[in-house]
Parts: sequence; structure tokens; C-alpha cells
Amino acid sequence: MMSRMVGGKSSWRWVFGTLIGLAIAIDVTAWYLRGEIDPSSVLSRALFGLVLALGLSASALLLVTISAIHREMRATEQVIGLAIAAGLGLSLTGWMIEGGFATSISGTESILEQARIGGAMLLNGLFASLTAAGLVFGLLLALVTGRPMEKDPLLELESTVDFGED
Amino acid sequence: MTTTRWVFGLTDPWIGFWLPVGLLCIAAGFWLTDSEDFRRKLVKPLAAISLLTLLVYGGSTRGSDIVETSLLGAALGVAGPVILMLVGCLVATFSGPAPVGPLPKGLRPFGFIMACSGIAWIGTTLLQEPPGSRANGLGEVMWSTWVMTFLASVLLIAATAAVFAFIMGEKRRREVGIMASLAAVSGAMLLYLFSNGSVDLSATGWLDVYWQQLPFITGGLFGLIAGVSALILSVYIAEKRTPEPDIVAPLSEDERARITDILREHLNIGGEE
Repeated sequence: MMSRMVGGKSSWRWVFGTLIGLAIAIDVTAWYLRGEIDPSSVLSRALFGLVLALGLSASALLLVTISAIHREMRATEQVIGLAIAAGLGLSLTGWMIEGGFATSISGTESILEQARIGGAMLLNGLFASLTAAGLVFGLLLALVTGRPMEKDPLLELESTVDFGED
Repeated sequence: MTTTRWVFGLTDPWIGFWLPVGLLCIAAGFWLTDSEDFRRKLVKPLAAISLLTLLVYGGSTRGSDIVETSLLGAALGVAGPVILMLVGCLVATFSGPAPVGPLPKGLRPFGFIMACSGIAWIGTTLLQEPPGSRANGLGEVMWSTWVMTFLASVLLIAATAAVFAFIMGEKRRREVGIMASLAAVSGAMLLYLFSNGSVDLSATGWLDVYWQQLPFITGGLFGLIAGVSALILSVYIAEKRTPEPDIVAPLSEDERARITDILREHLNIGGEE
């Protein structure tokens, strides 16, 4: 059954199905063990993370774009697009903090303070996620490239045997 | 040292932490310019000043007072395992049949051992009394969030990679086995923390961190993707609006002859009409 799925759309369904299924399984386990979870609070924290990360990442990319501007670059659209994304993200962040949708780990009420704390927490999470991805893909790369391969018969042809010896 | 930090305003997180982060972004922009551009010469000094400022700012971190010093404390706490895993992966990759910069083949098992030791190192830190920088307050929240995000990410990515290797490749049992083992180990560590907690933080504390910080970070990852998508979209719009280039005149007879000469000289072709 599996051999028929290789490379097909249904293969990707299995891959994404595993990812989503496992994420749900972790959530259900944590829910079962903790109990008394307020789904609206969880959702508002996820939304707060989304808008803050949008604002901060667009601001950082805007800074990179502005410092890289040169004569041949078509920068107008890039600057305007990123400024709109950054403004949207940061405005929504401010609106969420003022509206009490985001609760800070330090209990402070100031918008700037909460954005600062959220930004540091996002950098922390990004560092952890990148480390995890680096470990898994690094090991996978080492395993895949380390497989013993049969010698390529094309390299033994007369026309390619001296290739690269110049 | 404290006086110096106070004089230059380095005790203020906006100056000691966020200003160098912004300067690093500017340095990245300068690095993307043409090699002849004078801004390229400013990349190294700017990066050095930023890193030095971060070092001075985080020099006396105790972790539980300010969120930025807590972040630096958590990063410092995991620097050893992260470096071990990174070096282990590189050693394992380049000691295999790599065509570029190969290392001695005998080092390959040590590479895998080093990479796996990184996870074991993180596991042992959960069984020991934590240092002051992450024993309580914001430092503890920052550290536990890092561990929780790392374990959940390893579990999800490794399990997905195992399924991918199983379905997409041929004879990949070893790859599937190792990826599944990695996912199982991180899943077991996560479950242990959920049910028993660690030395300094109870199971309820870990579950609180999971429900308060993980949704925030998950949303943040989607926000990051949205930010990058905004960049891609704006570049796409810019490219779409680029006017068509002017029609270039065809090659003159002289140019045609010159090209024929070059081809004949270098490739030994084009000499015959």
C-alpha cells in the first residue's frame, strides 16, 4: 500500500496528518493532566503572539531593507509593504494589550513593557525551535548522506573519466 | 564595571538589549549591499559593537529580575548542549562519504554520540538544582519555556521526519528508526515533566508554562511566517511593476564575428558555417 503512495499527494497527507495528529495528542494529554483550561485565554495568547511577531518581524525586515537600499534596488514597494505589515502588527498588539486580551507574565500594564516582554519570549521560543529543527534535520542529513551508494556508471565513461582533473 | 554600565545607560534594556538587536539588523542590511559599497566595511564593527553591548548588558545577569537578562541567562544555560549538538551534527555529516571537506571516517560515531549527548545534557539539567539565574521568577519561566518549546519541537519535527523518510524513500529503516527514537525520547521527557515535574518546578508549574507560553510562541511562529510572507509579497509586487526592458538592437556583423572567434578559441566550435 505504501509503495503506491510514494511521491503522491496522499504521502503528504500522511506527513501533515502525523504533524497535526501529534500536536493534538500533546494538547489533549496536557489538557487531561492539567484540567480547567480556558480555551479563550489560550486562543487570545496565540493571537497576541501572532500579531506581535508579525509587527516585530516586519519591523526587523524593514530595518534590514532600509539599510540595504542601493541604486539598482526597487525598494519603494518593499519599504511600503513592510511598513504597512509592521504598522498593522504593532497597532493590533497595542489594541490587544489595551483591550486586556493579553496577560503578561510580569503583570505589568504598560504597552511598551508588555511588548518588550513578549518580544523577549518570542526570541526565546524562536531560539528553541531553531535548535530543535537544526538537531533533527542535521541528524537526518548526516544519516541520508552517509548511506553507501553504488558507484555512478556515468562517471566510468571515457568522456567523463578525466572530468575535473584540470 | 557597574559604574561603566550605568554611565553608558547599559542597565536600561532598551539600550543594553534592544538597541544592539536593531544594530544587528542594520548590520545584516549592510552585509547585503554590493561588495564595493562603503557600508560593507561597517558590518564587522557594527556586529562587534552589538555583541559587546549584549555581553556587557548580560554580564551580571541574575535572571529573575528583568526579562532580557532572563533571556540571556536561559541562552547561556543551554549554550553548552546546543554547541554540542551543532558540532555533533557537523562531525557526523562530514565524516561520512562527503565530497566536500571530509573528516576521518572514525569520527562519525562520535558525531552521533555528541548530538545525542546534547539532549541528555538538557535532561540532566532537569534533575539538578538550577543555578540562581533560572531558579525563580522570570528566569525560571524563560528557562522552562525554552525546554518545553525545544522538546515539543523535537517531538513534532522528528516524528514528521520519520514518517517522511518511511513514505518517501526506499530502504530507510535506519533513518526511520533513529528519527522515531528521537521523537520517543523527547516525548517521554515531555510526559515525565507533565506528570512528575523537575527538581525545582512541579508538574503543575510545567503544565502552566505549557498552556501560557506555548500558544503564545506557536502564534509567534505563524506571525513570523506572516512577516516573511509580507516581504515576499512586496518583492513580488515590485517585480510585477517593473517595466519591460527596452528592445535591444540585434548583433552587428563585427560583434557576430567576435563571438564566433571566442567560441572557436575556447570551445573549438562555431568555426564552420
